[in-house]
Amino acid sequence: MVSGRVGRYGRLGVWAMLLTLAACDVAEPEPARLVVEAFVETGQPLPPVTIRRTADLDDPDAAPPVSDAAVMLTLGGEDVAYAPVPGQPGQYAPQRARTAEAGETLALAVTWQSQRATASSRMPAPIALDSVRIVPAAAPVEAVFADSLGLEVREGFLYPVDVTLYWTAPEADPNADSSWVRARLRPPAAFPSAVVDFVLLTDATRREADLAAGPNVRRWSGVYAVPVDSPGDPLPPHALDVFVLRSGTDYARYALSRTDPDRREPVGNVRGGLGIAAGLALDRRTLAVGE
Amino acid sequence: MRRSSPLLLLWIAVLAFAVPEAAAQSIRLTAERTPLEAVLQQLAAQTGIDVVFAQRLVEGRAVTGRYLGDDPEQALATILRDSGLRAERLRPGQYVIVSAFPTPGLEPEPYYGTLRGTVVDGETSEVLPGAHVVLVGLGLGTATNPAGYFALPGLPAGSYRVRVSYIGYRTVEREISVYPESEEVPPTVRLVPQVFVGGEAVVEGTEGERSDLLPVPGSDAVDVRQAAAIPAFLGESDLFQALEWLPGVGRAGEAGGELVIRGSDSHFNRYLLDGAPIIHPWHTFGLFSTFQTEALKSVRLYKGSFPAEYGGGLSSVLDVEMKDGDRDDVAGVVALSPVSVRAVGEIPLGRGASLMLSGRRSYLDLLLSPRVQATSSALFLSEGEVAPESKQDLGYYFFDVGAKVTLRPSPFHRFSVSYYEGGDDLNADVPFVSLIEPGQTDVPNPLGLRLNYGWGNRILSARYRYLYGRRLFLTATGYYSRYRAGEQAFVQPTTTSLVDSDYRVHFAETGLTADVDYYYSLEHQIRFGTRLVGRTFESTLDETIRRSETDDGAVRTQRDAVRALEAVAYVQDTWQPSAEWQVQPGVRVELFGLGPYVSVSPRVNVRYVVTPGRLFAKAGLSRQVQYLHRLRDRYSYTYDLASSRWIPASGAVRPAVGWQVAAGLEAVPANWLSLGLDVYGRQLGDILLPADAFQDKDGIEGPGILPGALLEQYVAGSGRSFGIEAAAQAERGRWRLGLSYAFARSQERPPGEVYRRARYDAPHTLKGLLQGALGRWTVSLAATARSGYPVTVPVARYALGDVLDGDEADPTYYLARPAINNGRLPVYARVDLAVGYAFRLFGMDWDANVQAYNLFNRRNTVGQRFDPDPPVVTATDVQGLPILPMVNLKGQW
Repeated sequence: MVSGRVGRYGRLGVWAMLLTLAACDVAEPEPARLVVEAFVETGQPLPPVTIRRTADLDDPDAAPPVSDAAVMLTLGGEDVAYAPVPGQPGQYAPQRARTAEAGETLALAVTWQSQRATASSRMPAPIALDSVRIVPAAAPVEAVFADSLGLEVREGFLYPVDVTLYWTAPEADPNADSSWVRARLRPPAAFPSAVVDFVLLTDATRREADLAAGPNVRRWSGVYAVPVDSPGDPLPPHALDVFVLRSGTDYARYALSRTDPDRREPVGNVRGGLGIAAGLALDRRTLAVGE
Repeated sequence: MRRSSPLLLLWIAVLAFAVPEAAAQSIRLTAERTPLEAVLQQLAAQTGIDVVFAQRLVEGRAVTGRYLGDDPEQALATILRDSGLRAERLRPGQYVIVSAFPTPGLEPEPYYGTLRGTVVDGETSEVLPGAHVVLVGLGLGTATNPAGYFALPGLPAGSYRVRVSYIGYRTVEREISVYPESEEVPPTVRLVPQVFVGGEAVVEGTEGERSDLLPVPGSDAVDVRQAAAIPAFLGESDLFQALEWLPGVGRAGEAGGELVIRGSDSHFNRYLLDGAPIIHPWHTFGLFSTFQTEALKSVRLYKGSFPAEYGGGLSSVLDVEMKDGDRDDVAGVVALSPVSVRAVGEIPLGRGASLMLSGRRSYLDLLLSPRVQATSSALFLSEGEVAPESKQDLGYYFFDVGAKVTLRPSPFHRFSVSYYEGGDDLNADVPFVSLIEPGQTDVPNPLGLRLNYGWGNRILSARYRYLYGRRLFLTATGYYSRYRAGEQAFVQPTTTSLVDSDYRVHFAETGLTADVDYYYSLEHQIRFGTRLVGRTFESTLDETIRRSETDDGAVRTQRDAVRALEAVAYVQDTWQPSAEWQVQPGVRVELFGLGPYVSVSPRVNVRYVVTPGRLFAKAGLSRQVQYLHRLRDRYSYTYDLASSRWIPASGAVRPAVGWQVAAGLEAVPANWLSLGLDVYGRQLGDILLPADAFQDKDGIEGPGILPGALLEQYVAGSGRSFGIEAAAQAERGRWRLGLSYAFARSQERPPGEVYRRARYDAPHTLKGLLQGALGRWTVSLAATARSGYPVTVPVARYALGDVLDGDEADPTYYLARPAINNGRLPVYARVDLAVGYAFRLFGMDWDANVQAYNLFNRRNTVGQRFDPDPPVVTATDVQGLPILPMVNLKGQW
């Protein structure tokens, strides 16, 4: 009788334990992971790459470098060994000169302790700005200046500046459908109004085919703004950096997903680790505006 | 499902062992001029068979005989020999005693008829669907159909004692005769409501219904009178807030939100109002439901295995009926809460006809903004019409109106027309200058923000019910249900830039349904029916984004219009092979025009009486198909913010399919106590999950409203949930206590990945609800504690730069979140209290009510944000609402 009761209670106990276990949320500790940052430009010598690792959330060193990794880049089937750069923790430089050519495949392998991170990409066709059209507003326009929380609101004036970039489409490319372009305007200072930022456009990543302005012409238009104190002020002279970047899907996904670090991490292409190792083509200009 | 399987096996094993083995009984009967009634009782005691008889047949008769054997039928024949009586077998183990040699003029001719009737509210004459009707002594029973009608055919002539019960009403017993000369009009059984709270009287009599006669596990009939007295957020008496206290039912948000049934997203629920679907049954972004509790007659929530007549939802069906209106007296309710003023009126129209009217409107906008222009509502704009410039600074209101006319030209015909319209209207006209210099709203200034958002439902439903003969009942329904939403936004941050968008959604469903109840025999009650449904989906977007003076502007006009037809047929048999068993097999066949898709969904539910009146077991298995997917654009702020957008299954997206298995036990250990235990498992396929769970609206540009652009943001995945729900309810006098605990897991899996916690996965939920009255005072105390909802938490931080940032730029800091919903918010707990005082004034019964939401002012954590920037990652908790005391006043006559 007693043993039967014990047995029954024992079974109940087992089931109660199973039930509890089924409801448990077990969080597994996360070991440090490799973070890879490599951008290889078409037509340019191989650049250094940066290798870091993840840090614990309460670690004040938010970007701990990894200086003892083995780094190998394979370009068009040809291995290029990388070695740490003295005095620059986390930086690795190629051990011999090599220029990346359009159409070559790129593979990066990083080995550190027991981890191995790999990534692959493809070198896109080179890109070059044909022309840049800059049209500032004739006079300052009235605008609302507000911070992101809307706590500080004031009325002010600004010059909207339209910028249009033109470049030539890549020659017949079997991967044209996966060709993406990122265009960016970098004025000397970010515009200090969340409300106006809403309608400005200084950075965009688009499928290149969607930017066609003619058989071989590609075009993108953006707007940035320069604040002034009064409606009679002229446009302050300033330098404007413009960029146009061609890549495959890997970098495009990264660029589209890296803009809100509070909410999300960027989508990378590194297997076994985090980060990005992408082939891209880039053209940049610094232009004088308002002079 | 791996962890749930042992639990399910255990449950099945428990059920298997709970079923007593049928063993041959040895019968030993000896009668020597013994009263027949005593011998029959002796036989019943020895064999367990049920014997029912009319008292006048047995009274005064004595029998002589001897039987030794194991055949109850032989034993009955032996003891009835020479008695002038014989036993008729109704079903296995059930016999009725009738006259063996009827003499014309003295005894009725051998006759088998139908015991039937209609069950109604004793005060208002409202019919009561789902009421239990049980033949005392036989344990044989049925439930009333949606028209309150019941029928038990194939009974020998006689007078039967019938017990009728319904949740929230006192059980009654009465005699109902089955004779050839019984009148054609089915008798009416009137039930008197139990008064627990809000009234002074306590109705004496037997206790109310404790068990559910439906064989469907996990279905809950809601006592709408009790629901109205449950503490509610902001004192707004509301059906969803009452349902929240049922086991397995949760809300998406802290103080409200859409209904979450057993961990599934709310778009897997199907809501029916008088037979018509209601597409968007909530106000204020889910805070309140559209169902005004005082206007409702019956509410039943199917959380699991649905009967075959229901479809269209994978998770649950909420079937709500509006009141028909009091046939005898004018009655009404007026109520004032801090949120709204509402009223319900019931008006007898004579000759069995009645009218019910209801209305509700929130009023804070009227108090806060003296310059309301209701005509500025986007909801009422027709196509192409431009919203007038509103003078209202900031306004929001919601409203509901309902009406139902019921005609009863004869006891056999019943016709009703129901109308419901409800909506929300959000209107903001904010010149930015008013933010700079408060009060300067009249200064002409083009810079500003103007929003006109409106959404709502309109339902028209006509229903005809016809009792043909005694055993055939037809219900035909025609309905039109429309959901319409408009989102108009105009933002001008500079004099040369603007965002101007006009987004509209129109979804309409028109249906014709027919349901037939055929009371074929005592053992078989067959229900079959058809549905023919037409749906139109229309969405439009007119959008202009101009960034500067020379910018031509991105102008986009998109329109999507789709029609879809669906035809459904179902059949279901409620089979009672014995007093213990009730089996409800059914099948539902659906043809959906887009695709097209044909699906055959089996349903089966079983109820077993382990101990009559005390212990019941239920089990069910069903398949559901949902052809509509609710999606939301995950990129742009300029459209799809407040609307519900539905995309039908088509060649591009398959319908979602679900399987549910459930089993349950109901025990009534004492008349004042009932216990329930349910286990369930659910598997979902082809449900749409976000392709990028981290993507959320973050700009003014988006991929647009066309279905292809929306579907690209989602992937077809699968989901599963399983759990155990235990509930206890006790009633003593005017006090009622309900306690429940639910263990539940809900998971989802995108293609190629492993299962992860679903958004509303809460493993443990404990709820308690105490309601009672002392004299004129009433009290209602509700408490809940549950696991926090899942949250995606970072596990590490890292730095990453970009090629365009420049060599000197610092890298950007990110948080590594390797898995979605890998963490959980702290336990959520809350206690709500309502104290009322009932009094009579101006010829009306009043209830003044003070409510406290979150009585102990516990600051629950309802969200978390993480800042990745150095030096260390900090988490910021989003806290829930503090204590909110509210006062309500309700009067009724």
